[in-house]
Amino acid sequence: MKKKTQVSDVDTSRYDFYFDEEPKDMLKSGITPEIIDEISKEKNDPEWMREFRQNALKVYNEMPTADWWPPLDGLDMSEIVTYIRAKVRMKNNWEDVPEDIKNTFERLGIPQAERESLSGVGAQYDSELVYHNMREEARADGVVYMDIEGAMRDKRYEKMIRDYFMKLVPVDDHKFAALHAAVWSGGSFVYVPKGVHVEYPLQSYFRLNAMGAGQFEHTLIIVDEGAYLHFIEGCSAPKYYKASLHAGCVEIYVKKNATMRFSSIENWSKNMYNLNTKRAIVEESGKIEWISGSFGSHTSCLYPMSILNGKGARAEFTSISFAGAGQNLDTGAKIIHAAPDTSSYMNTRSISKSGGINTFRSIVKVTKKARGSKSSVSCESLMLDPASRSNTIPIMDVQTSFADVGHEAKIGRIGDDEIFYLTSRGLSEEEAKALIVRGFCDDVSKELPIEYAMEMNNLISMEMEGSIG
Amino acid sequence: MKINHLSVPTWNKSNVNDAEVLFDEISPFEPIVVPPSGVSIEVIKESCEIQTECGEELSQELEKVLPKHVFTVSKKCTSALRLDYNFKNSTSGSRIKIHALPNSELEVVMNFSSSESGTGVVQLEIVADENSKLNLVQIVDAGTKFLLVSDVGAKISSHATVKLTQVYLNGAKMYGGAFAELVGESAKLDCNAGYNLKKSELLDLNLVAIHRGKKSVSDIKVRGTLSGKSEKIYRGTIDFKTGASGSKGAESEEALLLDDTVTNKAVPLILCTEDDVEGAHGASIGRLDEKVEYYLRSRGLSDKQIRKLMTKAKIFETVKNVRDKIALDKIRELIN
Repeated sequence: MKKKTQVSDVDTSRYDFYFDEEPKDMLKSGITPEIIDEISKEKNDPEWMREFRQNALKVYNEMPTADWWPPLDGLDMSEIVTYIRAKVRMKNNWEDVPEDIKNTFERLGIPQAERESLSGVGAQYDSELVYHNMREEARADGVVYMDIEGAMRDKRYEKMIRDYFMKLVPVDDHKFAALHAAVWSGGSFVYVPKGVHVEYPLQSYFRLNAMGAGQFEHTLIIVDEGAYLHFIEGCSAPKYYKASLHAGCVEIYVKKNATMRFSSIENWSKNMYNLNTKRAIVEESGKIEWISGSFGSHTSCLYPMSILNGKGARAEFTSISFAGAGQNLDTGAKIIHAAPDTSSYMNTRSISKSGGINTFRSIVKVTKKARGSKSSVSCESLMLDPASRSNTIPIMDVQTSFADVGHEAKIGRIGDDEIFYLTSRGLSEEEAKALIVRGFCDDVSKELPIEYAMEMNNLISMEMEGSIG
Repeated sequence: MKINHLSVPTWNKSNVNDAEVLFDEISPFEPIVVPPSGVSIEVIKESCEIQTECGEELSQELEKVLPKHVFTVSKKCTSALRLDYNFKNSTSGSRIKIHALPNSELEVVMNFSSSESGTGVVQLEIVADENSKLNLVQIVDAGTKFLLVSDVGAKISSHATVKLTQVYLNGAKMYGGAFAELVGESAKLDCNAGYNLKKSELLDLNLVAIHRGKKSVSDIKVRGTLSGKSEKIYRGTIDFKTGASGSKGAESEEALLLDDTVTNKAVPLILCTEDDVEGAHGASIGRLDEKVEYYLRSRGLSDKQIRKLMTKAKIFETVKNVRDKIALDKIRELIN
């Protein structure tokens, strides 16, 4: 039996199915004050949110697109539909979800994952959450995991939402943050009370089904003192000939001594512009861990930011990105050390193949207040052919002498010596290359829960020893 | 005017994409020239033929007002070409081109000193033909209110080597670096930049190596100490272009921060459109290692002595490629 040994592009066929949208469910394309008002009306926004959206639209119209981003030529904002009405109100019982939507998530394996390994699941279909549920144990501990719009209208959480919503990511952070603020829809609110350790992860899954649409969900997470949470985010969409846009926003508040792990497996279709914004602020002795896998999308601009705001706060960023034909993945992280004795570690791997472009972009800033801080950055890039591109663009900005900042980066192809050694041990050249590529990804994939590591391996299609017939 | 552009822009809020300088109209400055035998000189009016690290805008400004002194090297020279600049209290500049013909060798020493204030702008073009070797040494010892712009561009042909040593010791605002294109097979760039920044001194460095030739090699090392309220930004780029197969590029930075009031920024880029290459970067930024400090204290050294020792160590490591005794003596004198 022959063995498959080549490194393939990411196989997205599993995600490449869709159901037709009814035109009456979709608002007009484009972004105007009238459309924003219509979204507010659809959502029954309180007055402060309606004003917030309109002000954000003004910022969006005035702000230029960042001149250092990859080209967004294929993204025509006048063609993007920013809101699609939900067919049903959000359900807490899986059986009540409409059949086509249920089929979508079942094909993606979401209900099975919920049963087997999660504390709770939220599922967003286009602009609205269609399902939200949580295990009874977590609910009994006081954990809140609900749709953010429901939380905004709930007297128990309304103040919390007003106090925290888009405070970490200001409206004028960048053009697509302003767009998000104007048209945001759906997303989750999570609150983990003091000292509660949520045993199983919570997962939100975002599915963009409609053609030429945008998804703008907002995720707000507050992990209170001494608590622990692992939150997983998954994203996918079918491929259309028209560009789609994802401009979501994640804001995470990690309080004193709390730990938050945020895992994200992004497998948008190859017509998606993924211009997402993620940010965390970490208080004294707290910890944020970002695990990120970027495989899909036409163009990605994604740089999760960690603000280490309390003494001894920590951040870790572990990521892998795979850019295949036609993809331009501009990813990385930002870490701001703003308090004494803080520490951070970034470990990234990227693979470029078949003309794909990978850019690792980072900033580590150590402010004057961050005496005694440490940071270490390691990024490695592998190029599998001469048609591809790989760039590393790190910034280190150190403003105190009581700091230790280290950085190392490597770019190259698989070394001849490594192949020579492995072939001398009896492996074919193809098997040797496949083994080396698997090892290259190993540091990152081992950080994921086992089922997601397996999922990642499937995504990369590195079934090096699988039968091809 | 904006100079020292980062090869690929990044976050504008980080203020690393370029540097802004302001100066009055530039008048020509004639350095004192001590040429060795084998080096001919002519003065011509010619535009800048190669790219330099400061960028086109500065080149165009300089072309309008400054002639170009062209030094052509035709053999292996045993003594150095010396260019001494002692800028006065005004805004003045100079354009130099050094053309090393095939198989020639030369060491060039450029000393930049000045009165207390003023502005000096020096543009240097290096053309290193096949098998030539050029060793360029630049020593900056300017006044406490002086602004210096040193703009260097190099084109390195097959089997040619350019060694570039830049030592920044005194000056209020120092803008330097180099833009080197390794166009030929096995072309080589060995770049060492060292600095000792004090008080409110600013150093803005932009070192770029563009690999076009096969098996070309670049090595960029930047090291030094910052004290007082000094500030340094290092932009480094290793750019492997398609066709530069078998090339290797490395850049490293060691910044020792001696006071809590300094600012150090580093932006070391590796850009790659060729897969058969090896690119690497390493950086270490921070205070003196505790073990080293403990050892030095145990040998009886005071704080002041340790700081001085570490500064000397960084500078002496930087100048290891310098052969000219006069240049080495001057560096020793300045650092002591």
